[in-house]
Amino acid sequence: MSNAYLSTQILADPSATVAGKEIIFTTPDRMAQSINYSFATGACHNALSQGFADRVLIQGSTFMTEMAQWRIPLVSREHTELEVVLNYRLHGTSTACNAKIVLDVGANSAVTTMNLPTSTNGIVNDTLTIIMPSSTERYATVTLELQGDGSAADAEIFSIMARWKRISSPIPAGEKTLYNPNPTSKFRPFGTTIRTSADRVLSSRFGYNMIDNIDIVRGRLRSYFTWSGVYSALSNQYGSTDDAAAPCIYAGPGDINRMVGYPLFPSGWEELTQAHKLKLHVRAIGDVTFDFMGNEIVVDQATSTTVGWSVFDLDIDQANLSELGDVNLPYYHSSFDFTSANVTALSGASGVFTTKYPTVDANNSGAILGISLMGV
Amino acid sequence: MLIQTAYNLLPNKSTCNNGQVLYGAALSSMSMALSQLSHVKFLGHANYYVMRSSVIANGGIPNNARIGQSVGRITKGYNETHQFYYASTKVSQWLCVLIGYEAGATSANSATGAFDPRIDISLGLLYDSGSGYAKVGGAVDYGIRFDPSDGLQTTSEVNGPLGTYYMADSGINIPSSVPTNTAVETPRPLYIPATKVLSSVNYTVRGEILTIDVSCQDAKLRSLTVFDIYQSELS
Repeated sequence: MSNAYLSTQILADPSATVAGKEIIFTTPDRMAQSINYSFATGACHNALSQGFADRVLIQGSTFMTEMAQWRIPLVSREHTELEVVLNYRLHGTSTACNAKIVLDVGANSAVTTMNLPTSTNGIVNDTLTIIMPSSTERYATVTLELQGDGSAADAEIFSIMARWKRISSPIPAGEKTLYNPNPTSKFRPFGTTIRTSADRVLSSRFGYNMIDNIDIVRGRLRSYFTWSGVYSALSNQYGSTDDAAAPCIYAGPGDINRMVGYPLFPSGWEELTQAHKLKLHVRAIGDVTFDFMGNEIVVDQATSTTVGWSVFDLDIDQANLSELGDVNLPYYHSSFDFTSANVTALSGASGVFTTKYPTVDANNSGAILGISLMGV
Repeated sequence: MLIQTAYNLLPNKSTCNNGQVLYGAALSSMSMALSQLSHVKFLGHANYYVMRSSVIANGGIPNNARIGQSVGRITKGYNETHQFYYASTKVSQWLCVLIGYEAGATSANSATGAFDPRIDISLGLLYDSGSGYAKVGGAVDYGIRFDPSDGLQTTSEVNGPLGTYYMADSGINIPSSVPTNTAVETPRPLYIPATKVLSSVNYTVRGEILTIDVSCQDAKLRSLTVFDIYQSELS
């Protein structure tokens, strides 16, 4: 079928095409399926993952309350469905507790509200469909709001996962784009041609399109880690902060070398031509300077109480950072570096972060509310 | 065939011009780049950092600062469970597990005199029969147990802003056969079959959303990372 793929038929043996071998269509057929597969399914694993313990992501208020926010990479302009799965429970009994997910891509948004009905561990899920804006976008912002039911029940989230849904086989006909709506070269899914179903040498078009397609898909971003502080937590069931509602609102010195992502830098990564290779997204209050993965990150916002996301390119010293060579693939350790500057910055440069976001003032200026790492 | 990990240089497009026989080395190079995409770059990966309370081991929140600190406060007999979700890929097969944890109860087991933290990890399956996901009964992989005999630390600092933190992993050595255990066993990579009969129904597993079920005794989980294990030779 045109533009189809089957995950069991995507490995084309490179040795089948060398000199002395007869030309057979199996190899180009598998190559066609392979590039269709990579475009349709690549990076559709977890884009957002975070766990919560100790009743930290808990809400007793009857008002829908914003509690966390993350940045995740887009997969392509064709992948428009984000599936969200939550593990939760209620403390108490109510039918009025809800979780709301807001997905923002550029100027466009999608929203879903999921009812949380069960007092035992439960699972809820939903899919948000976003209309991609006409601007070039590489990432989305995901916001979680939570609603409890006063004295009747607190709602608590234990884990959140989000992923972009795969494009099922066959890929719809027509040229596709990754992030830029009007790029110089576009992805062209491979359909069934005489070259992939008969033993003949290939057309010039096959080669040109395949090289372009590989180069485009190599530029797809993957999510390496996502973290958000939890703010506005409130519990009516558990009065003491020792019991509940004392989440980490900000990244702190306890997260140094604990909050770790493992980006993948295979050989040749440095030579990739993609302009966006490894991006650190930081959500902060005001200005803060810290060290991350050997890079000095300087967040410089409009005012000392401005809250927003900033995006940074990371430069990587592979030789210095390669610590995970025993897992066969070159995964690298990325975290806040253990430096005195970081201990100071993450503890509050001029004191401690005593003001609780969403209130902002001098006593939480410089705090980090969220951080995400994504790369090709 | 061997799966290369590197991003190889792609053929010069002029090798594909009209008049050239497009086969041989050019195609070989493209096919290697394609297998690198599907079986290296786009291998599955999930990274859960588990937020803990900002209340520290000896109680209270130092300076009222809502930042990540030590966990501690692990009293003897402490238990906790977690359920995370992993969107497996259509080529996921073996899964490496990497955990960050604090272990070490406030007292030893009165009967044995031993500290005995343990962390069990197993795989389940989410299935949507039309009314949203629910976990299917039974396990996709009954899983593995980390305990002191496999290097799980028995003691942990329980105070201070920089909590002691340890890591353990399942390793990446793929067993010679698929697991058949029906209870947790010593650490090894977790297995994702293509299909599995659960509760008398044959479900597609590979490519679906899996649950990663974690059970801790005398230990607290700080992070969990899983990733598809790269296999250098496939057919």
